[in-house]
Amino acid sequence: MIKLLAYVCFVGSFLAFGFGTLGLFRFPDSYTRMHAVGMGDTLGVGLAGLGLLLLSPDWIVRLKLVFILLLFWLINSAMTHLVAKAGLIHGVRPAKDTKLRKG
Amino acid sequence: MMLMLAGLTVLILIVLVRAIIGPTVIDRLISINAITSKVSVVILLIAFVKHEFGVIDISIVYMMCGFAGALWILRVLTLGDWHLRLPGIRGFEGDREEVQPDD
Repeated sequence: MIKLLAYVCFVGSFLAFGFGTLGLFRFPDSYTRMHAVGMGDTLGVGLAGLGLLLLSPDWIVRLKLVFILLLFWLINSAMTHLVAKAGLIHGVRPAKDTKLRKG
Repeated sequence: MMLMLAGLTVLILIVLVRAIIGPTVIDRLISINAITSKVSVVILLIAFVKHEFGVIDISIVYMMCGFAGALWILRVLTLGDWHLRLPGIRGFEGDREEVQPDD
């Protein structure tokens, strides 16, 4: 039963990674591609870590997995934000029909 | 679990195509971030397949090194280097009009 739940988590994780990769190829712009990859990778690593938490035999392994999940959620969001800000500063343009909101 | 390892390997190869053809530098950077997260999940799965749980530490160190490397690339790149400009090859020219043939 626990193994079945873990495999359901793995299937969801693979679907999240796959849709992130699909968005990396289908979107027209650097910033939208960044959005798709950030969302997909965060959800994919979270679900894979949840499935491995269900399968883990020891408390040390669970502690390490929780640590790596928290570290990844911190790092990936900060990295996506920094890449978007640096691209906007250094002049990578958005797509043609992007509407900017004033104020 | 072996199926998810194979699927993640295929997804890494697909993301590598975007890292090669991406028109700007930040496309390549977010592709490298996606490859880093997928490879860390692959290392976690290998640790659980082979029942050697010391491999999880390698995943943590790999994720931190990927973050530091991407941050260093963002720091080093200056205003002129944001488009890899190769004259005559379609897709490597960037958004700018003037393309120096000496670059």
